[in-house]
Amino acid sequence: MQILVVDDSPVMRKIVRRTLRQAGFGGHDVVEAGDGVEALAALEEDDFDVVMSDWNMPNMSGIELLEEVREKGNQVTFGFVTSESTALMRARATSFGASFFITKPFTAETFEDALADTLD
Amino acid sequence: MQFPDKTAMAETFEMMLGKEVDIVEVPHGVVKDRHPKTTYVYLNDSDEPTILVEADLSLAHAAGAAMALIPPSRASDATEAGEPDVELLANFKEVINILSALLNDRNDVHVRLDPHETEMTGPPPTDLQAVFEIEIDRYDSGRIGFGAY
Ligand SMILES: [Mg+2]
Repeated sequence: MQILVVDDSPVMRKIVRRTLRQAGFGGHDVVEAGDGVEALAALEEDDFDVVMSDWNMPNMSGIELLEEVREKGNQVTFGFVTSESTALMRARATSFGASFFITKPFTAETFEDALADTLD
Repeated sequence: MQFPDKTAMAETFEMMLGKEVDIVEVPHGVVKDRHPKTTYVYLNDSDEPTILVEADLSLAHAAGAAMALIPPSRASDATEAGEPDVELLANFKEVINILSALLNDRNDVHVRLDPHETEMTGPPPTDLQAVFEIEIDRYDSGRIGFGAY
């Protein structure tokens, strides 16, 4: 299985990786992208099983990325890992078929719950 | 304005650092080593300064290093020299960014970290109302505090 972790903060990407390991998903390949543009390029290049994306990023935000991904007909499992979470953001995410919405600070259990159906 | 409690602060730091931290609340406390680079402002939806956060340079360096598994010596050397370490402070800023979620959970007003560098050199615009002393295993300790404008 391949996971794409998208966040503009290198240290947050590390923390997401570490939490994936703590949640028991350490056996999967993780690829990192620093914004929506890099993520799109990675998604063109490779097939991913899950995309875990930050919301606020320069160049292309997480929600713009999701819109773009769906526009291209890609139905990859896509969820957000974000410190901002308003009802409006959640509704927008759901309308584009986001599968989960993890808010920072998160725990390994949060990751398990969000990803259990997709990864094993 | 409601500020995060000790438990919420511990959970956030432990998530970010991937290790246990010791936290005590310091009633009527102040930070000891306030630095323009470790002073942060949260804005409300009208972009008005709403909450001030100050941290000791020692805490910012220590947490910023621990998060990325950077050796404690780099953090303590930078603190001793009084030289802000750009990478460590960028890491620590992620913690500050995430603390906005704790503030938003507890208050009706919605805040977000000022995306610009604040670099507050003058006297603090407000007193701190909630101050915590945080100890990170193998790293330096230090304080962080919140105040409402
Ligand atoms: Mg971000």
